[in-house]
Amino acid sequence: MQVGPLGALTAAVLLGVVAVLAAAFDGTLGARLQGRRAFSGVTAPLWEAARLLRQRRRTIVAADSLLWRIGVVGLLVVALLKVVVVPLGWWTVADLSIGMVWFNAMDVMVWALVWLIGWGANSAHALIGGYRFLGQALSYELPLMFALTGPAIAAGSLRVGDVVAAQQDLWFVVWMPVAFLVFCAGVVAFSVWGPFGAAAGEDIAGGVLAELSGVDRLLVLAGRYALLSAGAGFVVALFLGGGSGPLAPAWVWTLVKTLAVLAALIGVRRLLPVVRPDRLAEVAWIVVLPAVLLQLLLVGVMVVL
Amino acid sequence: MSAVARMAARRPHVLVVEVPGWALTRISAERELRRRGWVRADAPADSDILLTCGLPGPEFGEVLDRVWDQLPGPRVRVDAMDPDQVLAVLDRSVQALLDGATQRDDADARTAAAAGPSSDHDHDHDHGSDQETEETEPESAADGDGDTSHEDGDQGDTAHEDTDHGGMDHGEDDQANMNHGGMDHKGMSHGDGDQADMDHAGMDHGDMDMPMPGGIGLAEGGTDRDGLDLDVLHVSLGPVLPHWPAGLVVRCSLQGDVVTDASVELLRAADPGVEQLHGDAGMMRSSPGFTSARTCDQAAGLLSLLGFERMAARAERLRDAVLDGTPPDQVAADVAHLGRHIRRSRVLRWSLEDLPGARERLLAMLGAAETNLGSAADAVTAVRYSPTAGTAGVEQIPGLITGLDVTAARLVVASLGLDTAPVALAGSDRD
Amino acid sequence: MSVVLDGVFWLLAVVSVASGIAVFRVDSMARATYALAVSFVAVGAMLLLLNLEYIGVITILMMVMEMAIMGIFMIMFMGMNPALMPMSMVHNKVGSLVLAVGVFVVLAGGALLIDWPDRRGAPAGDLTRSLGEAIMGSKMLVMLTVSPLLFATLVAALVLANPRGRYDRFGDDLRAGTPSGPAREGDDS
Repeated sequence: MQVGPLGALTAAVLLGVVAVLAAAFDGTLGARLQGRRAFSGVTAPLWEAARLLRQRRRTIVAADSLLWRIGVVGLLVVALLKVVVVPLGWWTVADLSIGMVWFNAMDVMVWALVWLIGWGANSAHALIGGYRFLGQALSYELPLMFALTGPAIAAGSLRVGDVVAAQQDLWFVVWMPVAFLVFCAGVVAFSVWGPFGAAAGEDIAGGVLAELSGVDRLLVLAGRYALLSAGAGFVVALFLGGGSGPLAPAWVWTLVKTLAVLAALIGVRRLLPVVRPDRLAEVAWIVVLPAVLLQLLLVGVMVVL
Repeated sequence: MSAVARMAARRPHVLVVEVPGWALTRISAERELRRRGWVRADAPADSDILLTCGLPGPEFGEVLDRVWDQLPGPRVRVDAMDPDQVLAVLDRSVQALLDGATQRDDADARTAAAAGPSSDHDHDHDHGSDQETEETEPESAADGDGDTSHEDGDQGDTAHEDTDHGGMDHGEDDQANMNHGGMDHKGMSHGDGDQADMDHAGMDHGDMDMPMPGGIGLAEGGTDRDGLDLDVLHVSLGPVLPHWPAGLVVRCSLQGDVVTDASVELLRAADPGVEQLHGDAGMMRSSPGFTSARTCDQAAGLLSLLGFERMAARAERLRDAVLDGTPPDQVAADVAHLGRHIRRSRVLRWSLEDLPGARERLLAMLGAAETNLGSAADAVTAVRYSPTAGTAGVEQIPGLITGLDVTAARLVVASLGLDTAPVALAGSDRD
Repeated sequence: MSVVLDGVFWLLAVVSVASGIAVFRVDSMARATYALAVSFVAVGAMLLLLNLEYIGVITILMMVMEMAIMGIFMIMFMGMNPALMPMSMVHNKVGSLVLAVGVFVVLAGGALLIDWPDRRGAPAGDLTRSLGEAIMGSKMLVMLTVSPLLFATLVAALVLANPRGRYDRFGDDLRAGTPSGPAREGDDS
C-alpha cells in the first residue's frame, strides 16, 4: 500500500531516527571498546553534530567545490531515495514495479558520489580514498547485483512488495543464505563502513573524509549511517520476510528486524580489519561471485521445480 | 556561551602531534583523550585542538604553522612539554574552545586575511557573506594532504609562500551553471578565450609555461609498474599522520596510489641548548615500563592502520595500563593473551599475507613488550629498547615501500616499529 | 496532471541538452564526465515518464557506473592534471560542430516530420515482463551467442593486456603460497 506525501515525510524522519540510533549504538560500542562506560557513548552523535554545526566549512585552493558539494550532499539524498522503495510493514512510499532495480541504481550513485567527495577536495589523500572506493565498488557491485537477483527470481517480480509477499511461508534467508550474506556485505560496502571502509581509512588520514569539516562532514557522516539504515531495511524486505511476525503489527516487526540487522552491520566494524580493495578484488571475483552464481542456480532450479 | 558551543565542546577532536623525543607525552595525551572520551583526529580538517607534544625545531615549526592554518575553527593550539602538563593543557584548551569572543576574533582575522588580497585580482567575485573563506595552503608537506608539484622537483615551497590563494573562493552561482567561468581561477594570466582555443592534442607541457591553477604545478606522466603512462604526483607522507613515526617525512612519487619513488627526511626537535633532559622524561627512556608501553603503542598503531579496531583498542588499553601503574606481570599476561589472539587470527594473517615480515614483526613487538614487562616485574634490567632505532631504520624505508601502494607502505612503515627520537635528538645540534 | 508531466518532460529535456552542451564547455575532465552522466540521467528519467521503468532505471544505473569508471580513465591517461588545469574539451572544433549540428537536425527533423503511424493495439500490462520475454524468448539464440562472445572478448583482452599471468604470480610450478605483487617484480627488472 502506497502512502501519501505525509507518509513520505514520515519515512524520511524515520530514516533519520534510525540513522541516529545507529550512530548512538556505534558510539556505545566505541566507548565500551575504549574501556569507558557504554552509556557515555550514546550521546556521541549529539555532541558530534553540535561540534560540526559550530565548525567552519573549508575552502580549499583549486578545489572543485561544485563537484565536491554534490558528492557531500548526495549520499544523504541517495539514502532517502532508497527508502522510497523500502516497505515498512505494508506501507511503501512508492511500490515501484522495478523497486529492486531502483535500489540498485541508487547504490550505483554512491560510486559517483564517493569519488566526487574524494576528487573535489583537491587533496592527494582524499583522491586516493575516492579511487579506492571505485576499486572496491568493482568488487562488490556484481556480487550485490546477483544477490538481489535471487529474491527477484524466487518471487517472479522486481516489485519489493511481491518479494515480501512471496516470503509468507518461508523467509528467503533460509534457502538463500549466500545471497543474504553477500547482500549484507554489499550494504556495508556501499556505506563505506567497517571492513569496507578503506576509502575513509585511517592510513590515509580519513581518505575521502580527510578535507571535510563542519556541515559538509556532518552530511557525509549522516549519509553513511543513512545508507546503512536504508540497506538494513532493504535486507529485511528481501530476505527476512519484511513485516511478517506474530502478535505485533507488521510495521513493528519491520522496525525490530531492521534495527537488529543494523546493529549487526554496525558491530561488524569492530570485529574485522579493513579489507584492502586490491585484496578484496581477488576474493570477490574468485570466491564470492561463483558462490552467488551457484546460489542463483539453486534458486532457479527450486523455482522451476 | 551558547548551548551548541557547550555541546560541541563535550567531545572535541584533538590532533596530537609528537615531536621526536616526546613519545611519552603523546601517549599520555592519547590516554587522557581516551579517558575523557574525546577523539583523536586523523586530519587537520577534523580537528578542534592542535596539541603539539614537545618543542619542534624551526622546520617542524613551520610545518605545524601550516597545519594550524588548516584547522577549520573554532580552533585552539596548545603545547605540552611533559606528561604531567597534559591534563592542565587539555582543560585549558577546552576553555579556549568555548571562548566565543576569541574564536570569533580568530575567525574574523582569518576571513579578513583571506579576503583582503583578493581585491588585487581582476575577477573579484562577490561572494556572499555567509560563505566562509579560509586560507588553506595548497602545499602541505606537513599534514600529508598531498602536495601536487612538478616532476622537476620544484616542491613549490617558495612558490606557495608568495602565491596568495585567499581569493580562490569560486562564486557558487558561477559554478552552478557548469560553464567555463565557474572554473576560472582568479588572478591567472589566462583569459577564457585562450582556453577555448587551446588544442587538447598539443598538450605537452614540456616547457611548463602554462599558468598553474592555484599556483599548483601540473603532474607529469611517467611509466608505471605495469608499463602504463600515468601521472606522477608528488606527495609527502608525514609528519602529521595518524600512527606515523614522529617527525618522519617520506617524500613519495605516486602513480595512482602506488609509490614509485621515495626519499626520507626527519624533522627535528628544537636545539636542546642548556637543558640536559631533552625530550620527555629522558631518564624514563630506558626503563622497561616505558619501552613496553612504547612497543604496545606501536603494535596498536599497526593494528589501527589495519582497521582492526578491537585488537588496536586492546593494545592501547594495555599500553595505558602500563603507564597507569598496573602490576607488570598482570599486564604481561594480558599482552601474551593478545599476542595469542593475533597469532591465531586468520583474518589478520590474510590481511598481511602479501607483506612479507609484517605479521612477524607485529608479533615480535608484542613479544618484546611481554619480555620487557616480565623483566620489569622481576626488577631485572630491561632489554635495551632498540628495535630498528637509528638511522638505518629510517634509511631503509624507501627501499621497502617503493612499488607498494600507500596502504601497504603505511603498514610496512608501521611494522618497522621505528623510534625516530635517537636519530632526531642526536642530530638536533646539527643545525 | 498532464501539465505537470509536460513540465517535467521539458525540464528534463532542457537539462539533458544543457548538460550535454556543458560536456564541451566545462574545462575539466571530471566535470565533463559528470555533465555527461547528468545528461544520461535526465534521459533515463524521461524514459520513466514514458512508463518504461525498467529501461529508464537501467539506463541511469549503467550510465552512472560507466561515467564513474570512464572519468578515472580519462583523468589517468591525460598525462596532466585536468581538474586543476583549465583546458578545452574540443578537438577539430569546426568539423565536429558541423557534424553534431547536422546529425541533430536530421534526427530532430526526422522525429518531427515523419508521419508516424497510429498506435495499433495496447501496451502490455507489465512492460518489464514483456521486455524480458522479447529478449529471452524469440531472441534467446542471439543472446546466447552474443553474451559468451562478449565475455570471451573481455577475458581475452584482459589476458592480452596483462603482462603478468598466474605463473608470474605463483611461480613456475604454481606452488607459491602467496602471490607476488607486480611491485616486487618491477624491482628486479
